[in-house]
Amino acid sequence: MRTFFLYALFGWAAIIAQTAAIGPLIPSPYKPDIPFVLLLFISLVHPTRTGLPLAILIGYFVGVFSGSLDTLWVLVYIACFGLTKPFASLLSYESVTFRAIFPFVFTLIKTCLLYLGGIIFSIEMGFASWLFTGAIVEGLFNSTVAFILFPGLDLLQGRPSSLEA
Amino acid sequence: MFSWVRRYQKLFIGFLLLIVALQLFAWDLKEGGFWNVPSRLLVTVSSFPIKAVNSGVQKVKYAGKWVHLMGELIKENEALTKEVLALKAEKRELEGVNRENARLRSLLNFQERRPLSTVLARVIGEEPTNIFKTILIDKGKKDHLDKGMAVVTAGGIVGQIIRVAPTNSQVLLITDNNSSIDVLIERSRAKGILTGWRGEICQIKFLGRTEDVTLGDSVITSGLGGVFPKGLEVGKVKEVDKKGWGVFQNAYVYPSVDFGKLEEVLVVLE
Repeated sequence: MRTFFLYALFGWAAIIAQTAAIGPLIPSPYKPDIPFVLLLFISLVHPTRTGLPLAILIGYFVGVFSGSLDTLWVLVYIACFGLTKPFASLLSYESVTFRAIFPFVFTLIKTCLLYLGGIIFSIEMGFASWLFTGAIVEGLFNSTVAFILFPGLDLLQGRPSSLEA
Repeated sequence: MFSWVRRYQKLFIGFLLLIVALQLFAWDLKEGGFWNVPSRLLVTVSSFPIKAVNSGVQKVKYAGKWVHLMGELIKENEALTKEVLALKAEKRELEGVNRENARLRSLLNFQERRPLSTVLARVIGEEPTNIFKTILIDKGKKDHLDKGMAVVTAGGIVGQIIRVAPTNSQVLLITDNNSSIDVLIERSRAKGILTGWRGEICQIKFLGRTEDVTLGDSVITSGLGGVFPKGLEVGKVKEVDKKGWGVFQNAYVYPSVDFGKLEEVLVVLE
């Protein structure tokens, strides 16, 4: 329960930083998606019973402050959590290659899911080519953030950099 | 029976959470234009740290700009002095035109243009994602703001309110793909629909192929749609895409507002 509230607080802080600081300071598509990188970390190191409610909560935080339906982000975050989970036991979370590629690939997957959600919920997302060019750039920035955030969160929790679940 | 429940515990939890997500979705649709109760609470509570962080961010932005600006200020000062002299002359001329205008208006029994009733709001946050284009302002339902109200600056139109909370509102910028505004080419009075396109550029759709549109043309609001008052500045045409076939031509517009430097906006109450 303690972990849940701690990460819920991190999620809230991440969306505040994203809305109040990163949004005004960094133009699109160069702004990294910190709540999403946090979700990836949660899905890698925490069991489903803690991780899934957190995915819903952080997705909801993003949805409230984003210009689309709150639920679109909740569903996208649930889907990303579900797709990420199998990698937790398959790959070495500590490897540099993994930390570089994993957030990049999942940023592209997130964009695909959003695009799909946009079609389902009739939300205009713009041209697919433009959207995915932006996603590639965002993916690179998310990977960079993951390099700092993943070990940082490990340290903060006093956890040796290893998988819990 | 309970052993069966225990065996499928994860499935049950997953199903329960999916129900919660779908319930939130239903809530979303029902309360379109308003943040629902938990969202309103979240926005209101978050607005305090957002304001605090944003005010720090603005200071950092200014500090960075200050050094760069010093050199430019000297040049700008000289240019401005010349401009002031030119403007003074222009002002005198305009005062004469205004007097003439007022006389003609009274002669034609035209109503004086009613000043817009507006509320000044501060921009306290921007869209957290790279996909949509919105801003968060520090005025909401308590200040009589509502969904669909136009948001403008002295430079031109900014967007319209899409969601309101008691003390905050979310504004959909004209550069978002979901924004649609009825506009006119000021010179030729050609009509079209302005939507977001790529980055900070907008696109005018449904411009008749035979309409006269050229680079640098001013784009203004048409007043249709009931959101934006007529005649507000939107931007300038930067590119015209006219093919040898089809019914319509497309024009691409640079908005007159610099969305990266928005700090205060005016919300039109009427």
